[in-house]
Amino acid sequence: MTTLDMEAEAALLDRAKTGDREAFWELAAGSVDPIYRLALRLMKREEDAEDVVQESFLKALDKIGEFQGKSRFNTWLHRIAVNQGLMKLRKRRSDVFSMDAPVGGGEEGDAHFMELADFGSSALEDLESSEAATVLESALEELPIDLRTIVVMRDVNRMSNDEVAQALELPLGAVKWRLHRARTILRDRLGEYFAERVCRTGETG
Amino acid sequence: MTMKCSEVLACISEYVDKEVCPDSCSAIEEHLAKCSHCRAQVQTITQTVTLVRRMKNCCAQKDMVIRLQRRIVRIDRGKL
Repeated sequence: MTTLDMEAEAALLDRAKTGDREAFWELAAGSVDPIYRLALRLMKREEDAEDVVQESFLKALDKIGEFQGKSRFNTWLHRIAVNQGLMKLRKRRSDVFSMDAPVGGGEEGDAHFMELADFGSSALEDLESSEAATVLESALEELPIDLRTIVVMRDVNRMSNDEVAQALELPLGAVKWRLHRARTILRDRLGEYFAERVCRTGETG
Repeated sequence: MTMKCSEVLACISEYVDKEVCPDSCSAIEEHLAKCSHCRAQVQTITQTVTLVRRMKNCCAQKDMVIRLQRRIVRIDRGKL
């Protein structure tokens, strides 16, 4: 995947707006993987994620004339993909319901009152272990959908807070707050895992 | 300027992302030097972000990308 600079993006955008499909593809190709990752985290099923990707890119192609270039093209695609994903999830109502359910245990708001142990110097190496990776995977999967979307855009697809705010049409402050909340929930889940693993209690950094 | 724990906790994510202004950064660090609770918060959030960023990321299957490319490059606008 290559990242286009602003100038190259603007030039391709001009061509794409005149109906040049090759230019559109050149503009869009670098976003396929990030959009797929986002769609997979939203939909949790590969076939639905693929549908969301296809529908999002075709929608972008259809609406390219309306894109004003106020955000990066990749940001705009993320916005379309989130909308397509949410629309599809609404059709799968039972899943939406379970995804909006409280996170296991409902203790995520109590972080400030927990005694926090450092995960330990081995934590980062431990992620290589499939067990720790599974804990993180399931913690991410259990995040409420609005928080999960932000973590994926920010920490997986490496978009800036401003780009996330543009993609979700949220105030910057709301993005920052939700990102913080999401990371805190993930941290608490990982903390439980590492605390259990190391059998260490009450030690603060 | 002395910051309270609640003020530090409110901007931990931005601090971890190195997105706080230099003045706030100094105030936060002054607080962290004295407060082990907030230090633990910063450490564990930093580790969490690092772990998330190191997760194995899936990529779109090659045949899916090819299918998408074909649809984009070839289909008629009217069929969208």
